[in-house]
Amino acid sequence: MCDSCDCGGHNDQVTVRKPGKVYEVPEKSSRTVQIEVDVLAKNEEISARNRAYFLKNDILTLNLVSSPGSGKTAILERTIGDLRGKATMAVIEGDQQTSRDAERIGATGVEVVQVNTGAGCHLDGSMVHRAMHQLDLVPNSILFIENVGNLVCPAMFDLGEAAKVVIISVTEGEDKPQKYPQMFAAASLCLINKTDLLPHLDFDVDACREFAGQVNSALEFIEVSAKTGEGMGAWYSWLLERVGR
Amino acid sequence: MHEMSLAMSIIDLAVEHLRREGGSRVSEVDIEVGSLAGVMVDSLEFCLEAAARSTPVEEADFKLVPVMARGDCSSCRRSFEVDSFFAVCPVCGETCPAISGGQELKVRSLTIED
Repeated sequence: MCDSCDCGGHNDQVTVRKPGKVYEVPEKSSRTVQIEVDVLAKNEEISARNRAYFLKNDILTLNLVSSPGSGKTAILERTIGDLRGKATMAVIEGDQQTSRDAERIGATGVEVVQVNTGAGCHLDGSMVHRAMHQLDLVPNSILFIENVGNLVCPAMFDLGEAAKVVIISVTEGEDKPQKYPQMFAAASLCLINKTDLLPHLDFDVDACREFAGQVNSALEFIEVSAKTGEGMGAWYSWLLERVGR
Repeated sequence: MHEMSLAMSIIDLAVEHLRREGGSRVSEVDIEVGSLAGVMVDSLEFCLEAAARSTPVEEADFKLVPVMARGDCSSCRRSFEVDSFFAVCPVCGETCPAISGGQELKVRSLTIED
């Protein structure tokens, strides 16, 4: 094909014939094939295998999703410190670049692996599959998967988790569930973080819960401050009720 | 932004089925896109063209067929099409209908040229 004006590429339509001569018209046929395949089928197949492995080994796997800067890593640091001796935990960190989060989590002493997605905006089943093989996962434990900070794309990609936990911080708008409903529809639990800052902000917690409840009436909420530890006990109970089941 | 990875999956699917069925190229791909699938149609179209480059799907027409989600009103029991998670019943104005469908993203069919 000609690169500059796109003039080529139609050689199959060109015919060269002598007058009076009979030419056979080459048979060209096309057919439509019904395939009915889900575009995400491949990811779902890999994630189903991840999920089967987690279930077989009683590993409670949670997919933590939020905007960048809502405090996912801070919540994990505090959780790992406070649940030491009560639960065995491991972490898969997802970011476009750097191992900063994995270094922070690694400093707490738990098993951690960093996935850098490069240009990618979400983790997928095969990234988690590769990452989990690098972790020494034990039965009756918790695996936290901290997804890339993004409230849009990670909603579509199953990783094999038992549940999605969506985190919103009170420094964001309470209308986030209205702006990004897909993620709140897909989550089982919503952590409202940085509640220690509430006295300084206009964030309306009740309105946030109401907006999120409109897209997902089954969504549970826990208000926490990873900084002061306030409310974290309810989150720990939520986790410990589910681990090893 | 996830439209690029979706587009690449669609092209992979088309190439895989072309190999299985036999043929020279794919001339049309019919894709169902649900109204609540979280996919930007314009972005997906752009990404499909980019992802198809230098493959036997390069010259294909991508037909993106919208599939509307349905809402069932809890108050007046009407059923209606919805394109948002925050749908309102057009008859009685009730919010929060029970939503079904609209999440599909599926390759329905391919037209293969011999």
